[in-house]
Amino acid sequence: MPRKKRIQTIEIPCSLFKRFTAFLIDILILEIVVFGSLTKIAEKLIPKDVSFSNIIGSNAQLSSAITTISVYIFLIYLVYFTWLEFKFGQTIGKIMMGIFVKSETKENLTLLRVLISNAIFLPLMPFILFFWILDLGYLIFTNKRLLEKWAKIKLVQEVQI
Amino acid sequence: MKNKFVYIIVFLGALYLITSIFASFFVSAVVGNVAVIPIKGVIITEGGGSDTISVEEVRDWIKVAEANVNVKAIIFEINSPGGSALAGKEMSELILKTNKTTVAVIRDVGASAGYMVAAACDYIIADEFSITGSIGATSSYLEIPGLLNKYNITYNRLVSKKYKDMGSPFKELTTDEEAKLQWQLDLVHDYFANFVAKNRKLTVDQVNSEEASFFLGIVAKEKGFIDEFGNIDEAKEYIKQIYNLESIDTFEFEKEYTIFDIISNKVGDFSFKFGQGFASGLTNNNYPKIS
Repeated sequence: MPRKKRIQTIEIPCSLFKRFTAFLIDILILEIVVFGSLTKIAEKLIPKDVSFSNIIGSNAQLSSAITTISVYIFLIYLVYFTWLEFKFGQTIGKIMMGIFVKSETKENLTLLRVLISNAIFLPLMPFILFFWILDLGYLIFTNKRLLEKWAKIKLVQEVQI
Repeated sequence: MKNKFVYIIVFLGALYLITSIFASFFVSAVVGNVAVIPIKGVIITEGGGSDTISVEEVRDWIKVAEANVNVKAIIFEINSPGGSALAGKEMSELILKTNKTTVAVIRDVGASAGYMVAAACDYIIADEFSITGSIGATSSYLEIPGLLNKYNITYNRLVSKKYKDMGSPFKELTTDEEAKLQWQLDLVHDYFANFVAKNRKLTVDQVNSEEASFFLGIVAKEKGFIDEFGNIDEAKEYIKQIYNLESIDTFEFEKEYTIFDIISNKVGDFSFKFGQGFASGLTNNNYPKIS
């Protein structure tokens, strides 16, 4: 009778590659599934062969429409990432790449902490642009986003030993 | 695991549903039912500054208005003394091609190429005192050989063929050249007169009876060059009636001014006032005396 081999896994910080790929998958899914109707609307408002900058500057209604659409898109991103990460610790992209969001403390993840970690999707243009650069810079040098540090959240992957 | 996937699919479906509802209500809430496009300043083909309106700007605005199903009609608010023949022709062709009802509202001036643009619209409204007409072409210029002679400056004529420098201000126009230029001006005039006659349902003789002069709105109405006296309110009322609309929500375009346009305008104003003050100081005796 062969002995069943026990597989042990440990959690290590996830790689930048997995993190970015998961993010791209999520963006792609939202783009296809959710934002299709918004893209059609945007094309109806501003036809493809028209100069975007010329139109935005010359029509107040269109410029506010584009702002509203952008704010809406950011809110949907925020809801998608925050809710799924809070509920399952994973979004679709993270499931596919095998990575998880975990609490760094002994306490469980709270909705507020996940929301803080995803605050880069708050539609606070153009101030948020500065924060994106800061967050991305911190990630490249420390393999952890600044907002994750503040929210005491880590992104991990499981490896077998 | 299975429950997790079902949950995620339902969650994505909910997001899709919310977005679709948002999208369907969005366009009608944002965009009005009548587009207002300004044709203000000298009509040119492209580029330009604050006192011009280019075909490329108007083309983009018309395309946006056309793409929107909510927009029933386009009002062209004209305040233009004219412009280049090509630009007037291109702009009026763009208007003729639109699938929306077009109404021209002539403000202070809608003359020459400005009137050509108005004539392309389905309906023209102008005030009794608006200046319109000027259905013709001009290519007048200053000839300065006398001035050059006075200062002993010689124009060295070097041309490959005899008409190459036709219309140069540095030499006198020959009879031959004048006939050639006149013939081409007549071609532009004929196109313009035929265009107006066709679109206004007039005869070419009726159009030419004014001998390319400008005239007031009162005369224009009498001669059939405009349809109604009024301004943008009458235009809205006209559109309201033909589409049985309860209300008119305008979707207005306006020329975007860059910081350079604003500065150059201010500098222009300042220079004009400076020159005006200087000239009046020279011509009047009521300037302050320095003792």
